[in-house]
Amino acid sequence: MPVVTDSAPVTHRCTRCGADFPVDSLQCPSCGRVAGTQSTKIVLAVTLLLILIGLILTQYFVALHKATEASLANRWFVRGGEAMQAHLPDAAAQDYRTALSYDPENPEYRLRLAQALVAANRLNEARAHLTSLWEQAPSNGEVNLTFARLYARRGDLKNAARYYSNAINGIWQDDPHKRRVDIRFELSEYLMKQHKTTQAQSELMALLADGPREPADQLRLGEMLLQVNEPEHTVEIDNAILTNNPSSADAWQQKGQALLALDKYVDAEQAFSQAVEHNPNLGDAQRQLDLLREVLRIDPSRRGLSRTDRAKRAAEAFHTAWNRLNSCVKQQGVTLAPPTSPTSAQPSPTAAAVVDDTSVTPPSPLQLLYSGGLQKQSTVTDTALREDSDAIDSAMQYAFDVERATASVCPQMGLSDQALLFLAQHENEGVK
Amino acid sequence: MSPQEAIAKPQDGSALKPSVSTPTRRQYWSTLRTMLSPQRFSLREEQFFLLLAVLIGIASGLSVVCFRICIDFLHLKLLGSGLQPSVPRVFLAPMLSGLVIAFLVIRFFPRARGSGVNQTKAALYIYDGYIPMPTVVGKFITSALAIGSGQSLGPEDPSLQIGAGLASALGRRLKLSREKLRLIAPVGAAAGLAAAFNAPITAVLFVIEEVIGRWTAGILGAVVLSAISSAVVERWFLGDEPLFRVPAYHLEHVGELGAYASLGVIGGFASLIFVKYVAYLRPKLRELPPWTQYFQPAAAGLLIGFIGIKFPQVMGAGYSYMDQAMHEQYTWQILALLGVLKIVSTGLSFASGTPGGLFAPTLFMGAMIGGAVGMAEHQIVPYLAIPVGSYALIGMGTLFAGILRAPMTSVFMILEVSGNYSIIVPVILSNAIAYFISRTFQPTPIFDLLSRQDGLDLPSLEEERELPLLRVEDAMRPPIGQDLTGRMTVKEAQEHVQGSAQEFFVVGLADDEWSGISRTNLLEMTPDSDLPLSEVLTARIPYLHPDHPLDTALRLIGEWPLLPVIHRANLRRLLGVVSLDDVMRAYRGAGMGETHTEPAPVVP
Repeated sequence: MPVVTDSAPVTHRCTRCGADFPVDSLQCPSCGRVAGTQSTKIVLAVTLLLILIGLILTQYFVALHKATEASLANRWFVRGGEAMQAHLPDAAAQDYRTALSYDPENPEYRLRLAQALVAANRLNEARAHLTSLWEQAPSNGEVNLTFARLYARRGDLKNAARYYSNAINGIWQDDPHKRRVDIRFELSEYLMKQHKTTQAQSELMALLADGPREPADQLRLGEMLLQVNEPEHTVEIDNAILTNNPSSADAWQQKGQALLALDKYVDAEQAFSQAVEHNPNLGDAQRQLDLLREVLRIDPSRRGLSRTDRAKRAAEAFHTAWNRLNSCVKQQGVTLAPPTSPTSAQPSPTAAAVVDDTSVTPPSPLQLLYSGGLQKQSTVTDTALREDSDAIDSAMQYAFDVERATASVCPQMGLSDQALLFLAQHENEGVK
Repeated sequence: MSPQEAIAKPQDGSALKPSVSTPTRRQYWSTLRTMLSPQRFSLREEQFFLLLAVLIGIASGLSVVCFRICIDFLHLKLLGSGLQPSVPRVFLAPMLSGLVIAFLVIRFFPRARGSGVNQTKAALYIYDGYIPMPTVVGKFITSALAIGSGQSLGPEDPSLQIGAGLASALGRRLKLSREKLRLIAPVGAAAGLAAAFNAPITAVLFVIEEVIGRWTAGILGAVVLSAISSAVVERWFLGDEPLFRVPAYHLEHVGELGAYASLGVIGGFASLIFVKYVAYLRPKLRELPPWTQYFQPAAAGLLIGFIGIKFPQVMGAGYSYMDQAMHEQYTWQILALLGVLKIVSTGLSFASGTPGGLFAPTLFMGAMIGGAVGMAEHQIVPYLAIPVGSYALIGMGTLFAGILRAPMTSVFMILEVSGNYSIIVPVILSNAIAYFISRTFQPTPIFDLLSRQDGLDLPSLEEERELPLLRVEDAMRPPIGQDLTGRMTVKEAQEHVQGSAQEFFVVGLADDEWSGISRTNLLEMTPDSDLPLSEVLTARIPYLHPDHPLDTALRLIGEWPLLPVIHRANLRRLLGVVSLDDVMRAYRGAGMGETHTEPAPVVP
């Protein structure tokens, strides 16, 4: 128990009203003034001095503490970055979380933590951090982008598209144009994966309007436009690239593919030829070029051909297909006995469907084609085909049927067969 | 012209030459001295007390900032910088620290034991506000070591005691009166808590609800001032970020309240389990031989270390993990498990006598249990769009209301730490349910329980609230026969009282004043006097209103045989009279369990 004592005189005299009052009373009973005894003043002065010293010391300790925390936060943050680079998102998340515990208000740490959590597929945790960040900065591009990736992982197309859009329109600190272009690419790819071709087309069109400046990005855009069936725009982009850099083999190759998609074989062949010329190491372009040249060589429907040439090409196509069929049936060990049913004379493999159910073993498509080929073989000659344009079509149809039927059974094929198969796949589009 | 003007505008450029009309430099300084003299700035005691409150707030704020830094420093040194400490550290740090803490507490700082709330309350009610300075130092060291080493305790209650101890020391040095010395400890307590929590309103409410026990205007200003000063200091040094980053929440549908009500029920029973567990374990450990007390904190530390290997979240105050719970970083199973483990580990730490607080562990339990309930409800009722963070936040308030039984504080604490006032309805609902459950099955609140285990009987606001408040209307009787007015002449009055058996009459005078006269005195007056009673009766009698507490009647009645009870809207209308006997009868009746007593029989 404290004993409140004072060594001062028995009474105080109030400095305001002059009244005497007991020494153990702090307050003058007459006027209510606090009796500022010498000891009170000293205590107050010492208290103030101690508070001042306390302020200075606390400031020092706080500064030291904050420096330690900042250093630790940074160390854990760097560790988190290393873990992310090593594709260890769980470890990175733990490191980022530790960094955040030392600097809870650091949005960068929180964002990296959220990104690590998204990468680790811990989407609920990531969402909570992102929500917190988003509330602070709803227009932050990176936060919106991470949110978009989170929803993309969840398969929530609506929210993913919404946040991608927010990210595109959001604030970016460094090179905003490039970031926006990248995000639109990402969004377009996401939409394409989700088979939302129309939406992807509109995003790519927006990219086209506010085009990427890097040739690599332009090529990427051309490629994606090609994937969403916009080859005309791919050609536009490639022409733009080639205007600035006519020796860009990649642009030539992509242009060739776009022209091919547009069935402009001649132009495509020229484009591939340019691509190979500028970069002979482009294997794909070389293969495409060879194929196109072969197509152009064997295609009987190409414009400007004389009737004789057309017949000659059709006959050659027929024989190529016949040889292909023979080689394939040999590889597969198929018995080529002629079918007994009269309907088996039909050359088209589709005819197999109408084979009489009463036959013991229904003929295979290759058998049907073989028997059809045997029947046609004698009639498919240059002379006969020159006289009868319908026979040209029939011979070509047979060749296409053979190539289609054998493509899956015997994948190994020569260039002529590849060309025929190519024509078979484009038979309804005609040669431009 | 003022002295300043005289110096600023010298005439004829003779600034340095004093003239008759221009004050001299000496006169100027004399005037200035007069203006700044101590007499001019002398303070009344109330003002001086407020000034002290500010100083106490600043000093407490500084101490608490240092205390928190000390805890962080020790945590870093003992458990390392990672969130997942290594196994040897988890085992050794709390155990070895426990040995040191036990030695320090038993040998040097015996009063540093426990949370600090009851010790402050005891200082207020038993020791005239006296908290020894060594206790403050001991509390600082041992609590920092305990929390920093991973014991499952919090820094708030020790901060409260540190603040109270500093205030008490200052009050003693200033030789404050006994009354003021008693009051100054809660002022420091509020300051300490405000700095620890970064929540001044919560601190003020808690000190009033739990430490002082009643709302008294005399101290409220000082408590508020000290809490604010302390919070300002804390924010100055450590920043003004809220304790938790709470996700945005809006009550979308009234049906959501059902979800929060279920949280209130679960939180209420969880609170009950914790309180019962501590109430059982603490005396059991105290009954063990005295030498075991040297090892009890170490044993608690060892067990907590076992838990901490797999769940380091339960070690220490755990604020960062509460934040994680709010951000859905655990599954509901993990959250529930963490809630249970925290109950176990906090009970162990606290019952073993390790110094440290219950605030943070209570909030931790609440956050985990709230989060678990929220996530489980999301799985059961997927269309409920309430963020888990809201459940965690409301869970904190729920457990706070259920365990610490400070319902007002629990509501305002959530509002203050979240800064979101739209959450108030769910908070009140859930807290009220938890409070009700806890009170029903555990009538004595935890702090009262602990103080009684320590052999102290400290007043409890909750128990005082239970007592019926007697009012004047419970004791007054009808004013039958009390018909004298100030306008009556003495003769009329004498005639009037002639046949009355009343011994004393209250007399309504003009200007809403009342007086009274005994029958004997009235009859002894000269009968032929034409003077009205209002001129004869000079003494004024205090009056009461029916809603006044009966205590007011006791204070005012003095030597008067009767006091008038009058209408509040018409101060001349007599509703009844009350005598000392009436008052005592009412009190006796209340003591026997009667809420209303029959008034004394009226003598016509």
